[in-house]
Amino acid sequence: MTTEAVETADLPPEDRHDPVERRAALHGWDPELTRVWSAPPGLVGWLSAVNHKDIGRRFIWTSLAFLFLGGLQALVIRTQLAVPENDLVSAELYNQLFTMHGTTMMFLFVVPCLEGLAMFFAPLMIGARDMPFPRLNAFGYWAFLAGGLFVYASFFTGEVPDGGWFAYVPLTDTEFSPGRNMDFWLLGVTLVEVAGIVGALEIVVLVLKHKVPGMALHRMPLFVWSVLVMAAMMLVAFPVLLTASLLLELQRKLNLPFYDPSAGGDPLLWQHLFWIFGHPEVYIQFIPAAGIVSTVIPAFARRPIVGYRLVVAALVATGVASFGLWVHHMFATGIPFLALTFFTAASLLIAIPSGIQVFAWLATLWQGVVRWSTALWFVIGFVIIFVLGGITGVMVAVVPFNWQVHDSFFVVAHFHYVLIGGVVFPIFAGLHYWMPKLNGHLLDERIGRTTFWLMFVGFNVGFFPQHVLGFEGMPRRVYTYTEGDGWDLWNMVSSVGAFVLGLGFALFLVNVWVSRRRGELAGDDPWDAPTLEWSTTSPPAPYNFRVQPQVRDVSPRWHPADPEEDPELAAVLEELAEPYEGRRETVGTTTLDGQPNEVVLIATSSIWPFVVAIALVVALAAALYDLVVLGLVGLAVIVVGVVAWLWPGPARTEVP
Amino acid sequence: MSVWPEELGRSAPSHLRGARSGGLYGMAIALGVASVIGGTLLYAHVHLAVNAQEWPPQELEGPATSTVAFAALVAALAAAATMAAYRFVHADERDRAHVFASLLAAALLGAIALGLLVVSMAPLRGEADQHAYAASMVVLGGFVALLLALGVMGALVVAAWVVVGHEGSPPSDSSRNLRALQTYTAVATLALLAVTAFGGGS
Repeated sequence: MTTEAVETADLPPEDRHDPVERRAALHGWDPELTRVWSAPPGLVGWLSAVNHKDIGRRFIWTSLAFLFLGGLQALVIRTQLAVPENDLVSAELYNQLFTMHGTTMMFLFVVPCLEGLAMFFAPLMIGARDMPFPRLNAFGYWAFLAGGLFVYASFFTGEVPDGGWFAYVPLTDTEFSPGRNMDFWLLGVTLVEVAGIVGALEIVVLVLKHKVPGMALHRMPLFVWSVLVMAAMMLVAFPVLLTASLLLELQRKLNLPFYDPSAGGDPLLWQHLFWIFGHPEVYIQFIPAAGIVSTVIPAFARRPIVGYRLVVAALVATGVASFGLWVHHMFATGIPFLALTFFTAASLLIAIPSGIQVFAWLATLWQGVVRWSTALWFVIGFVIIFVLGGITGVMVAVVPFNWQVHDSFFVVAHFHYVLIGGVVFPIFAGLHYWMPKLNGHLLDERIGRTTFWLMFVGFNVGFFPQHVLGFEGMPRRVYTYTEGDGWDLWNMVSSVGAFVLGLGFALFLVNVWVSRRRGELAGDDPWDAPTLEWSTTSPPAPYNFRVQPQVRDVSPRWHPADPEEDPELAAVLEELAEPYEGRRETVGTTTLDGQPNEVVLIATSSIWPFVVAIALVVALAAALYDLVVLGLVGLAVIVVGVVAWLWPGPARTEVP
Repeated sequence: MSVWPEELGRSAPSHLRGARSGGLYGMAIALGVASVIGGTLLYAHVHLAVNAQEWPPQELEGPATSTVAFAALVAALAAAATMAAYRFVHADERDRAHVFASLLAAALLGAIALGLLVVSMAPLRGEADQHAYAASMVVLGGFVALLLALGVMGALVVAAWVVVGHEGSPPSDSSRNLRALQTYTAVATLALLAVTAFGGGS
């Protein structure tokens, strides 16, 4: 099926007023399948939507909105630090700004954006029709949005979180943070964590059960491998922070002294729990970003990736090893020497799988016939910046060096090199590469390359000087400095770079807007790419594929399967292309070798995930303001909402 | 949720059979997440115990071990009742009355276990804000209580499905998932019993 845009006027008159028929005709989709897999029209329909593309798109755009909010906070921070003894913001506001900046980027932008990309593209790449539990998926989005808005609501009450994105106790206990500032943070982030966990659960089940026939694990696209590892890590790491946050909230609200040493508690317990989550969190962000890089490079090098199995092994090894590094964030807390040695060794070890991937990417480019595009430029920028960030990572893993630069601007420079270079650049590569599937249009290449150069130059000018500032002794999290400290020049340079970087982000938005307005229609596959998402229309139909494909190779578009090899299976897949009693059906396969073994019913649209998420945020707000009755109402609505959500429809055509 | 192809009215070939459904995978992962939460609470308990000068403090009375043991026994019986319900659902005759009775018994036993757990924690009332030991025991107990409450609600909901004809014919994932949850809860209650017995219970 191809994308053939037609004018509404060309449609038969009876189809012009039916939005589903009109949409199907405009994009060349199957009208009956479109009707079965579409959300109902209107506002209630929009709130009830559960399709993975709707939810994925909402995750991506909402997280980008948070990126721009976090970016604005960063620009205020850099403006404050541009000159010594600046009084643009007070020390209190500065604390709030760096707390919200870190919280926004770590919890509200990177992970949700990557989850959004996973939700949108992973089902397409494995040939599935939707996520396994679409209502849970929709709940995850509303919980994420509600959690993000909950944290940001603190700006309206004047109680903005100010204890850092790591929320160390005792700084965040009621003794030193008596307002509701950190309660906003703890409850809001908990909701976002819940959203992350349900999204991760979805992704794991999707990948294990919903691959198309023939897609054994060793034929799975690397992006899908990466999001599988990411999701598995989230399922282990996020509940730890969720639990730690609830314990801190219980301490703040009910005086349960988990972190209070005067009553048998221990403040270091928070640091352990936070970094057991926090260090894998960095790799939860990096691994899918690496998956994007491993997807973009073969498409533009026009050859399969070099060392596919080694890259998969590297992704898994990175994920596993990342859980053994958390103490390197606590080298300055008086940890026993043996532990220091172990965690130093583990921190150095993780450079090996990362190195394997870098060599695989470079070898693929070296052996390929490279076609340059903005997406590939972002990948090149990523490799350069990430390698620099990786090198400084090895430096801070060495205990004596770590003690020297601890809590200095060197660390700020290091983690921005890792997180912006290692994650944000690949995300932008992915957005430039996949935009045709998101909105049907190609992004403008000229604007795209200007965006890249502004971001690349701006980033390096902005953050490289911070290494020097760290060496010169400038501590992080100080709201100003004096003229005689000798930090004026590099701070000014860093601030100029930050604004250039911000200009790059803004230009990306302009590019999206321009491409939506008058961008070139992309067609099904503008890149001649190897993976399945390019086998369907741009944007894809609500059902993804009329007939779900079969796979015999890791590059299924370059080496397609012959359906005649298994005519019986081909007949089943063809039969599933005809909707039966309006049911949403997809084929299920075995985990390891992708052999078909069931027909799976997929849940229809439902308003209840939205209702439950709203009730949840009401209950949290009630907890924040000690409103017992409102809290009980919220809990009651949650119980009723969950039962209604799970209640099967008539004749089992609707499944929870 | 998956069903057999023939129940969809599809002419699927014979090799489209014998699936382990996505619902079961989802439940297994959800219980895995619960294990991480429970494991984190346990880690916190052990970390605090190892680093405390006195654990548990002599002046504090721990949870009543015998009552926790009784709660664990009743939780195990609730799990057995859901196992029976699952067996009835998948029995050839698909006897709805037996399924309903088993689920109702599971809900009742779960509620009794929950009540016993609350009673067992009564000695810690008023002490949770005095020392981390009491706080930790209350939170561990609360975690198990939450699982028991979920089990009770789940049993009641699936029992309601049986009444309106949505469970039992054809069988769905619900009773299998409920069985997994109740079994897990019984094991969690046993773990709580171990912590109570070896960590200062009275």
